[in-house]
Amino acid sequence: MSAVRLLSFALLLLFGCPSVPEDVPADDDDDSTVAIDDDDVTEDPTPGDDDDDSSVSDDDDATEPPTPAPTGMEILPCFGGEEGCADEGPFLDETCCAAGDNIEHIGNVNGAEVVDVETDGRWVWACGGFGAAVGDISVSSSPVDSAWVSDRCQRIAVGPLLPDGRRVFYLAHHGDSFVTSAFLGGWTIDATGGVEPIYLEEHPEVLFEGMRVALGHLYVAAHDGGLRVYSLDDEGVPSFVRVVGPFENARKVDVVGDRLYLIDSQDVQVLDISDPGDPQLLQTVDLSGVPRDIDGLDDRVYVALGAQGLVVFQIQVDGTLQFEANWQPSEGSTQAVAATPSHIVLVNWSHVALLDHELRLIGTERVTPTPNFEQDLGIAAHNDLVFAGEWEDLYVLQVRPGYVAPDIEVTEDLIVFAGAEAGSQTIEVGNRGFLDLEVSSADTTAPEAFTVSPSSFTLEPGEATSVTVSFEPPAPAVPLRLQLASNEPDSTQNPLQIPIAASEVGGIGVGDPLTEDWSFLAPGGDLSELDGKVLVLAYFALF
Amino acid sequence: MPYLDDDVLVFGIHQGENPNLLLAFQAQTGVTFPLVADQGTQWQLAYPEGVGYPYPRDVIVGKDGTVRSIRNSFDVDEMTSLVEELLLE
Repeated sequence: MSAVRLLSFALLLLFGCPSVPEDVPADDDDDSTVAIDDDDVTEDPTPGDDDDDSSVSDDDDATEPPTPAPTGMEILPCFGGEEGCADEGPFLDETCCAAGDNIEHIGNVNGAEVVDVETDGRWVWACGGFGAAVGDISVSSSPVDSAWVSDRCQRIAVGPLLPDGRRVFYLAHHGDSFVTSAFLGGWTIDATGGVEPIYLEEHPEVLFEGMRVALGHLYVAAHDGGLRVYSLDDEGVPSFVRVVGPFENARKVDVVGDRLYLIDSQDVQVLDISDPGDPQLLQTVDLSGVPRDIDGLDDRVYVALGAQGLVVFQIQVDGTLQFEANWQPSEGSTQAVAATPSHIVLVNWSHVALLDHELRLIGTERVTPTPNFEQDLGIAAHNDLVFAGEWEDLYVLQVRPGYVAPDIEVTEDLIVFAGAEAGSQTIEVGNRGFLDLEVSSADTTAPEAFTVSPSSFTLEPGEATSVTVSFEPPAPAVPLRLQLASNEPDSTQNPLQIPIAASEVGGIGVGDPLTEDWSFLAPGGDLSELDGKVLVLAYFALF
Repeated sequence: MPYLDDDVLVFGIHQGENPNLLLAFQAQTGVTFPLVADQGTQWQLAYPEGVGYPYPRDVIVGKDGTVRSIRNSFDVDEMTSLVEELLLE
């Protein structure tokens, strides 16, 4: 459920000039526009942090002494034997928690260039560069590849369940160098995994994006083309009704009750769909950031806001939104969000994060082993199952409530010795889990050229330490890695491997001059025009 | 806007995106640096350790035209630090 722009917004912060959004047609009431105040931002509430309450703090009552931060077993989510207990012990003192991995990889569904994920609890769809892969999850521990639809796909929406048991689903693509005509399509899938097309709309001028089915209608975000509204017949076949707008850049949408929540440019637009075919704008919420995804559940709306993490809104009686909290990851960029009654799951680009509804980080999961580069772009959840769409594949994870563990994190994903020269580099290693992290061994794949200090250490929850890697050339011709072996339960991070760059590589690399092939960047086509300039070249793709 | 008056040029280089989508992206993000179609340079770049994908990939080049950094992960602090260091050369 992710709308991703792979051009880094770090570059935007450095070099871009955000435009002022045009006023969206709305009532003149100032209350209709809500802006997030920087004071409301809460950093990743690591265990032992004084600010473990992620809601906005209230400084009005200054006479009572501050509540001491929880320590020891008190930091555990099931302290006091309350909700969210482990299935079996041995239980940790004064809790119903047990030591163990709380989010585990249990299987894969075939996928490729996965950018969006959806599930109805029976099927899971992974949408990507080679179409939509459909997996049967009726036996959750053994997801089965069942069907493959379309050549390319970017967005999915689950449609109605027909009386004969077939499920309708919709795929969309906004067009790119491989898909010359943007499309919106509908299919059915039966109990055997057989798929049949029921609808196809091809339109070179419409940028079909995120979709949602509700109240007998299909709502399709279409960038500056607004919100497209389709009515659905008894077979789930769409009929175009109208376009609602104007919007600057409508991309993803979700519905709670008769309220539709649309991420548009740097806003959330709230629309009344009590008349499903004629949405009416109720509110514009300024996010002061670029949203990637949106998910609504019960009385909350969750927005994935990239480097700014997760923003949570409370749905008011009239369906409008009131800002409640902001949770920021300690690393990565929040690309997609899925909420269930018991937890919230995020993909933060480099990892999956599991939060409880108090916005405590319960656990993380890397779906690919380090030092592989991980690109998590889509997420869906159903009960205790999580479906994480990574560029290479769709991973099925299982949430195990009540289990707690250490959780290793590092500040660097690459250690560089520029020019392959001798020296030392330092990284920070931390523990964002609930139990002590015991690093039994910190070494490299080339001990003849590298030394590591310290070579072993223990970190309490919330603690961090510096690890120094020293290099004495030459480096051997083997993959160079820093390796941290620990009691981290995720096998993909144990040992945690960080690449070390300390040797020459093929191709135009660090220390090599740009060739004339880059002259297209110069106004006159002569590379020498760029002499004397520092160049930042951001290679990107849009999904 | 940082670095506007400095000797820093920024380019977003894509592999043939839908022009309408690029316009929508520019409108959404407010980026003011040019978004240009690649001319085959992506495949000439090296893949240093830790760089496993063609994009997102940021390449920073010094005033002398030599490549100083190739990374997959856009790290604001790291990029800022390197850009400022290169401006002093």
